[in-house]
Amino acid sequence: MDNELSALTVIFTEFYYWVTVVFMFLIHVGFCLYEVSVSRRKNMVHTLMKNAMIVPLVTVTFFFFGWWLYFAFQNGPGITGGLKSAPWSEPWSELMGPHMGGKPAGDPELDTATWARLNGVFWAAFLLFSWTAASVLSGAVIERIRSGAFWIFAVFVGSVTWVIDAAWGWSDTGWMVQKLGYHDAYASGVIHAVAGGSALAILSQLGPRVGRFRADGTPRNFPLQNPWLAVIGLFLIYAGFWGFYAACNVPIIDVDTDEGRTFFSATTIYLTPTTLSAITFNFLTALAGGMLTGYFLSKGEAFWTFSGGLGGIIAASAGNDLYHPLQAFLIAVLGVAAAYRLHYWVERKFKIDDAVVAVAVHGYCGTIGVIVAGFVLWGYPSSPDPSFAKITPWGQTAGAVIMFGLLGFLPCFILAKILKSFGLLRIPLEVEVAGLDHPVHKEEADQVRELIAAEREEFRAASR
Amino acid sequence: MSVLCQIETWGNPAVDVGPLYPGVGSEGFLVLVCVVAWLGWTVWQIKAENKEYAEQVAALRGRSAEEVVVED
Repeated sequence: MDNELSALTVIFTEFYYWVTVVFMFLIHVGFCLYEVSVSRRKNMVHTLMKNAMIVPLVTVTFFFFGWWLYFAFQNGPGITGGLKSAPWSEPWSELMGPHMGGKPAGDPELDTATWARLNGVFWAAFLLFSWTAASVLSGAVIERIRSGAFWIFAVFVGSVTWVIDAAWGWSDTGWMVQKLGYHDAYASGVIHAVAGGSALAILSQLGPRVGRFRADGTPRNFPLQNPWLAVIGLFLIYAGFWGFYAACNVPIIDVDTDEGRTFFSATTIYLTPTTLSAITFNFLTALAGGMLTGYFLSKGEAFWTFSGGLGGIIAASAGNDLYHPLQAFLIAVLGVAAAYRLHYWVERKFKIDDAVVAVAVHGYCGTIGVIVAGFVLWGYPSSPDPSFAKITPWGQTAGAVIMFGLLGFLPCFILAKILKSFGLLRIPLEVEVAGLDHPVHKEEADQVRELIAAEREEFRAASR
Repeated sequence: MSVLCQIETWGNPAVDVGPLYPGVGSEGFLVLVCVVAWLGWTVWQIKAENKEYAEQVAALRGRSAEEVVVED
């Protein structure tokens, strides 16, 4: 910070991440709107609060241990080394607060100049990813999960499991990058597959909403309570995803590996070069591919068209730093088409009631996206470090299994089993059929009935 | 000056100014207090939710399905 150029670079980076955080707030607003729009009126307030409380709960726990897990667990630990030292991320560190960069008395070796400026905005950018991961679960389980149980899952996925998978596969020295050549630039696997796998595990233990399936096993439709709100919610998620994409990059850094030469560029989280133009091309063509496919398959249904757009982005995200825009388009088409078919097959076969198709849009599209990147980017270096494995189909497939299965499905399946065994997973039947917002909803319904009766009476009187 | 005050001068921030917040050295204690508060909130919330459902179930049990399931 002692000359204008380095100060500009650092303060630009600080501001850059800060802006991404503001954009990513829209993802959470969008999830809340979308979820409430799908919920029936008798459950609206509880549904909103269930999602909204992700904000404080994941925020404090990500401060307590999530940020530290990201740095400490990059070697496994035990695969490419032990726990990594990351004093700037410990919750009691001076650098986890307002700081000007002066050396702390106890640790004169610590790089305080950089972390003093960037720790808060880095932390917040990762935190917003954490909210997203938790929000993905939230929509799937509406109208029958206990809020307390859900918030345990939110903290578990938002501040633990997704953070560990990010340490492993979404950091410049993660063991999956080193050993598997794992590449997932915009988090198809590390956010979406993990969250989708987690949601599927919870749903498998939670069971469907009362009335969801007929005696012959076919599902009944729960009409959207408010289609407009659903569409606005999904549009806001799209808007927030711009911030998500930008936050996945390092905005400006020297990418030339030769000593004495410099070449400044934006990079991915793996420090491999890319550009904002590249990801802008690919974000938009993937969105287009997903929306067209969702519209085609559902014959123009708004819910699937907009969900398809999101699924398209998610399917292409693993390689959107490198794909041609039309490759991103085609991968989005493939991902959404496969996820659509898989959703209905799983729903009927296993009686999974996913209220917002979160498992399909996030879990299946994300998993497919990770695997497809292994074929399309086969042979690309995964890192500037030439000793790291290159991108391969088997490395990506192993990565997809780790994301969806090992860190997504399995831990939440075990946790859901434990909560279920204590009777803490699902709300009582009486409360479910009456509605979580009962008796407020009952009172409102009585008021509406009284109003209608009064209107009819006045109409009859006027007609006489 | 408060005993928590951290800054004596803004004169040479690159060298002199590290943490800006008051009470440097109390971070571990703050973490402990806040972790206990979070865990306490979680236990309280689960108990409160259980109580709320138990009351609702008691109020709803024995009533007709038409009374309980309100048209949405």
